Amino acid sequence: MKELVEELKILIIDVLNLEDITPEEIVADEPLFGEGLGLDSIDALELGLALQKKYKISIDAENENTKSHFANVNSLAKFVSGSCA
Amino acid sequence: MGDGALLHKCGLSIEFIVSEWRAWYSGISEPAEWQSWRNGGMTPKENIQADVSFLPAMQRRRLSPLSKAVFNTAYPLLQQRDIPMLCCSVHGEAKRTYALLQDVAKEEDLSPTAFGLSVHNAIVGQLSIAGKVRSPALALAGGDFPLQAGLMEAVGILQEGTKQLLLLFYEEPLPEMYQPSSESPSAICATALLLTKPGEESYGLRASLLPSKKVKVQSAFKAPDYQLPIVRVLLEKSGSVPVGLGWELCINAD
Repeated sequence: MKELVEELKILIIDVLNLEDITPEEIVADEPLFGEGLGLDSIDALELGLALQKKYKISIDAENENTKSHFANVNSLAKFVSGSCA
Repeated sequence: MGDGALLHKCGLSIEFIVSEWRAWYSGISEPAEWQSWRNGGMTPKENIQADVSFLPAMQRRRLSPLSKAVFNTAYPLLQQRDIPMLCCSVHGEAKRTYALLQDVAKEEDLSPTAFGLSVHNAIVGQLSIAGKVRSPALALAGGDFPLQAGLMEAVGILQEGTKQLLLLFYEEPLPEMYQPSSESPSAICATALLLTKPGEESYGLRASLLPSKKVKVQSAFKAPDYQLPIVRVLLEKSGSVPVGLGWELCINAD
């Protein structure tokens, strides 16, 4: 899981062009959206697409749980590992 | 009597003030650099991007090389003022759109960011968000004669009572596939003109749009570096530039 967390941090930096941010600066249990890292709704779509492409998982935008999966890097890692298994 | 004088006699002269201007032509940016360009001492560089370090990183990350050039010219003229903006470009974000079309052809999922930023008003939208501009922001397709399209729209807005507005022109080199249909701009170029309605408080270069039967003008699809003649008369602080069929822009003409 720790490796996946680090992998996701690098994915976030790459696909969202966060060129001035290092993986260490993304705290795994701090919010990705709004406060914390400060990502927005377009980032959410872009990140969702990148996860679908890389891990071949499907994301249901209507599902209430989707929002909580995207809360922070730790919850994303749990979601990805759960969906891939 | 010339057409301009006749028009003036009829009370139809279209006058405005160019209060300030900036232009970025792939590395040529500051007044001294433009003077050097005018004397043949400076040419545009390859692989150079306009400086936008005045923006926070989270706002910079979505800017393309073309939108960086626009921000570089527009932002210093806005000076955090909330004034209307008018963006005019023939091709807009041609490279971004072309990359998206390639993904469509390959039946790949499209990047939501690239999709959102490929529309013609994306640059002025980003500018209005970053500059907190709530005044009207318009994007025009330049067509064959972008200078005429942009300037006519701008003077129309001034005539309606707006005191000041920011008029922007910008182009980037075209992907090779489009080049049989249009000449490609030589390098990324953006021009920002702060236009003011003539009046007691206005300062800057006096400008007017005049009808003239004798002007010869080429389509922007044939002569895509159409911004450079405007920059030249602004540097010289006088002269005239053909802007469209039967229309010219005069700077400091009497």
